[in-house]
Amino acid sequence: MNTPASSLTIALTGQPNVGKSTVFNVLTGLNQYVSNWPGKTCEQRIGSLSYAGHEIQIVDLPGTYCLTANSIEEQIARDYIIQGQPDVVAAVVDAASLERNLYLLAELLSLPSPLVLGLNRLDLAEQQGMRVEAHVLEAALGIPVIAMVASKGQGVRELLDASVRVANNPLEYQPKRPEIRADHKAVLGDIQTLIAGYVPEPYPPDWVASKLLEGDEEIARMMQAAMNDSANKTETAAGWQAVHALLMEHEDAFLAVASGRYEWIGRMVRAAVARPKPGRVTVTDRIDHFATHPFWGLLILLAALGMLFWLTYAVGTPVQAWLETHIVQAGARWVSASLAGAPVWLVGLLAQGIIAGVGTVLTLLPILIIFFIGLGLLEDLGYMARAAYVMDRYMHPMGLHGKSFLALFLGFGCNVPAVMGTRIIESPKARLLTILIAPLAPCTARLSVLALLVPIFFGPSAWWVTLVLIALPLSVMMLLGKGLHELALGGEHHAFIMELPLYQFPNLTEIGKGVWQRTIDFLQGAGTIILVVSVLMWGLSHFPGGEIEDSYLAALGRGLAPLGSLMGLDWQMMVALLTSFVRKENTIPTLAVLYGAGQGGASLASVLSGIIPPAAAFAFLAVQVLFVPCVATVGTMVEETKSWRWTLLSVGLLLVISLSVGILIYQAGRLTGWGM
Amino acid sequence: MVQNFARGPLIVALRDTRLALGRGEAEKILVELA
Repeated sequence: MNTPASSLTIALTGQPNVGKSTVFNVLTGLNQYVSNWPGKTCEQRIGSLSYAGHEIQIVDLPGTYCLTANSIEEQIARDYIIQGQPDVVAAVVDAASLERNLYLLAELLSLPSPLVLGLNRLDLAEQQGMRVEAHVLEAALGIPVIAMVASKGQGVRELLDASVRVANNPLEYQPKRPEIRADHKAVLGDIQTLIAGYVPEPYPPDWVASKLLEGDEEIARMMQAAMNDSANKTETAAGWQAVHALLMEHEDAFLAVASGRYEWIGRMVRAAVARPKPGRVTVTDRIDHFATHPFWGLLILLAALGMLFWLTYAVGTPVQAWLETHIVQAGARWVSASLAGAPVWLVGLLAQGIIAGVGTVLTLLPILIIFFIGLGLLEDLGYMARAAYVMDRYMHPMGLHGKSFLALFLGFGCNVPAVMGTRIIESPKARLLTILIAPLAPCTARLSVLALLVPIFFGPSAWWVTLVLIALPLSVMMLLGKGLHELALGGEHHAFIMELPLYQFPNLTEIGKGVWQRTIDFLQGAGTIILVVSVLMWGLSHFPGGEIEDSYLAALGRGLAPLGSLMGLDWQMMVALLTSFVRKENTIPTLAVLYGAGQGGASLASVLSGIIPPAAAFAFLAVQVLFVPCVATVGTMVEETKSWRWTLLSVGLLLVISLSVGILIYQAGRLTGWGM
Repeated sequence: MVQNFARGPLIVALRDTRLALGRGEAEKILVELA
């Protein structure tokens, strides 16, 4: 008879960028489930495995520097450990930054769940000339300490063994915890006495007392409510007042708490870590001498991003073209041939609606995957933080920091990865602002429309007209970013404090898993929206007459003709603007069909240049570069912001701005006589 | 202090960590020898 396996829950925690995700992936493989933490926008990863007769669930907590609930990630981590009560907490620390990493451990030791310590990245520590003795640290801490190089799979199983052992032998768990600095021990004791009996389950009373001294607002609110809700309100109200008075009298107590922890950490590190002699220049130092230089750093950044773009279009564009020709168009032809006797609308719906919609999503994949790989490589290498540092000073006028630049720059290739690239921005408001203005980056699709149309209308002046049309959305981006930052997002100034991690060789397996997950996220989220809207737009351009000239879309274009006349645009050009919502490149074939290009040997260039004056052309092109983003970008914005309201605000703003600029340009031309 | 070009963010080394710090934030930090 088989003995039923017992179940264990292990919470994996650690500061950001310590290799925690690598440990999680090595342990769980593909047996992982990704969702959001309940009620939060932060990602939750849970994996499972069978090991040593146990069914083990591994919960990957968000990376946090401490447990003070200043951010959603810190709140999630501590709430899960306290209320979720995992059997074991496995804390992963970076051996090359042990002193900083042990601060989180110092806090974790105050919580009830038993701990094991994964001492990761020992190889990086060795590169820095450091020697960290895991067994010495284990003796000093009183908890299991496992030496690991998770990127090479070393020590991960041992971490699991230690976790199972600790979970099965709770009485053997005898950690050595840090204490508050001596001059504040009495105050801590007074707080513990005052709150005794009122601390709600399952919070540890000693931990709550320490948090009150640290000035933790959430814990203070919890205790005030708990003490005020108690039966004897007179006694407890006085009790909370006494607590509050004590805390106000010792406002600097948080320094004593932190000092006590750092004194404890200092003892641990002195015992277990042998450092190199001062003055040693590491590999990171040598690279950063150039990578963070205001001039050389900028050149290196532009070279890195230029290489990323080159790779994307050298590899991605041919794959895109192949997919378009051999999958999308071939699929549409096959459907048309197979359904030869079927109603025209059905064939159109399948071939030009659904297959075209799927094709839009499919042909984006090569570009997205290469961008994701490139971003993953730069991030894993440790370079992304340097790029954000170099660009930080240029982003301040928009109320943003350097990481936003990386996302916005991607928009020059395609706005979809630009929006998805904002995931590297920690601040929710900065991320939202970057998403809202990212569609103003002139993507290659818009640039291809400019490349075709500008020479038609402006001949030898095409080069400076193109420069102006590229500078225009960038200028609007800065102004809109500044305006949204001040008016809609509270004008908050976010402190720029960012760790510069050590450089390391990228882990290709981890990057591959990240690319896979991001691609699946895109297909499941934005991909669905793109498909639905594409089918809808096909319907508008097909019904009722079967041709675009007598479709609902054309009727809409004719209805918008009075608005278009303010910009010198006829209904055909308004329809071309509307079809650019599906794909920016649609502008060209729409103009060709509606103006009858190709009939009687007349090219699109000759037809357009004979009909549209330069002022109207300039207005049209200005509207093009500022117009609402394509459906793929809108779908991605909805998915990344989790908000139709903010997405529609961005779309609405761009609609108003683009049309206003178009009207201004044409009316200025009319008044001055230029281009008429 | 690791890097300070008089404009833009600084780079400081704190314990075993390198941090990029905005100039405004750096101006608010007081350093005391222990």
